[in-house]
Amino acid sequence: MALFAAVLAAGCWGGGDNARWDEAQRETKNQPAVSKEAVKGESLNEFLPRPAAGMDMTFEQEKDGFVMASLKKGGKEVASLSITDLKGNDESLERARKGELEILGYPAAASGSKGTVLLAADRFLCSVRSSDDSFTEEDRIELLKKFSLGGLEGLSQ
Amino acid sequence: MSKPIVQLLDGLDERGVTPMVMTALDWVTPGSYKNVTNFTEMIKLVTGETDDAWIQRCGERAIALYNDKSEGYQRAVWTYRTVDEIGERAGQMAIASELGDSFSFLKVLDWLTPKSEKIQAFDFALKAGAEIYAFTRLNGMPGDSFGDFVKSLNDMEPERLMRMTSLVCIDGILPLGPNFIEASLKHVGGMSEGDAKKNDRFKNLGDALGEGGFGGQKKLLTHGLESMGDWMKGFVSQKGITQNKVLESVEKFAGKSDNKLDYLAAFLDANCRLYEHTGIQSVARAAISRAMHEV
Repeated sequence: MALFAAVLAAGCWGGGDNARWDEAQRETKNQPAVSKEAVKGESLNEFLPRPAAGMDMTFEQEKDGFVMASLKKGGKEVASLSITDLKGNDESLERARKGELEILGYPAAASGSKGTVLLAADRFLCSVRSSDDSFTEEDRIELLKKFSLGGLEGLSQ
Repeated sequence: MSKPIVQLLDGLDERGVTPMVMTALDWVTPGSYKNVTNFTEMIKLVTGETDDAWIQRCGERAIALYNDKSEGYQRAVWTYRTVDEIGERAGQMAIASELGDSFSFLKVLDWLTPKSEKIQAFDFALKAGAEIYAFTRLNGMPGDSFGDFVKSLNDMEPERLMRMTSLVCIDGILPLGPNFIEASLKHVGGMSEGDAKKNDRFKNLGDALGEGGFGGQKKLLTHGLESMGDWMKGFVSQKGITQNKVLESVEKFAGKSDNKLDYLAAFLDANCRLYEHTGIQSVARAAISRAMHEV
């Protein structure tokens, strides 16, 4: 009984829930996370929206099939935005296609409570996440509309 | 491959010299750093989400990204760990056995070998260079993007801010005094190939310090220090950092030092793994920050 209690106590402390990640670790060990066919991150930069007046944008990560930028107001991040090439990532692509929202005719969806995503050209996942509560879901949707969605259609040709 | 990111985070100290140093430096940027040593907690902190199914998807994607060597996250961890590795660890165990409520720095003096100003200056420059290299691995930019690096210093995530605070306070101003940047530039400028060969950190970091052999690496270190110099000077003046204030903070947990700053620096060098500690947290944050956009 004492041993059982000790195990329980240990389970509740610190890294007790790490077992939930074991399967993902096993399945992805030494596996590529991005398709070789994914476009270069730098070629995605131009499809991100220009920051509105009073806002500043800095690039945070730029890797194959992914670009991410931070949107700041008065030096403070209010949102982060990205484009991901879902080429080869069938699971995410399927989920994005089934989005419960529609923005400018594109399938879109909420991602958690702070994010909104839109699937362009049946391949590129455009995402906006609020970093500050002042940046609302409405703001996210408006910003998604300003991505160069037509440009992304052209890129996938 | 190295350990899974979940295990790396889980293995970080919650007690010991490294967390003590971070607590001691908290006054520089009050309350901004939180010592998160659990992967799920890190996801919640970075994303602000609470839905368990969403957290699971985000975590699984972050693990996949970390596990793909070509994405650079593993290389960044390697860099942060390597810069904290030192050849000389004599006395570390003996010191560890002394650590506790009654720990006193003066009691462990005999186990320590102080480093010359020259070696301190090299170490400072190497840590600065490693930070630039790891930054480029994490965000996918070319290794010579000093401009992007300098720009990013104005808006750092808490773990990186803590690491830079420690670089300025513990590796810079404490052993080298208020003119630590000039001192470091002077010694790196006079560094010979023989000096580099004798320095374990320099040897171990190898390619991470740039290509072009010793000459190219020395150039990169110098350029790195010059790029960060203005930001560091601004940080010191803005936060009111002085050698005395840093010393007082460290003495709060290490006890009186009798102003034996070179010994204190040797003690911290052998026992504090702040670069590795916050580096692993930064890498986890970077992988999660990307994953949260991809799920």
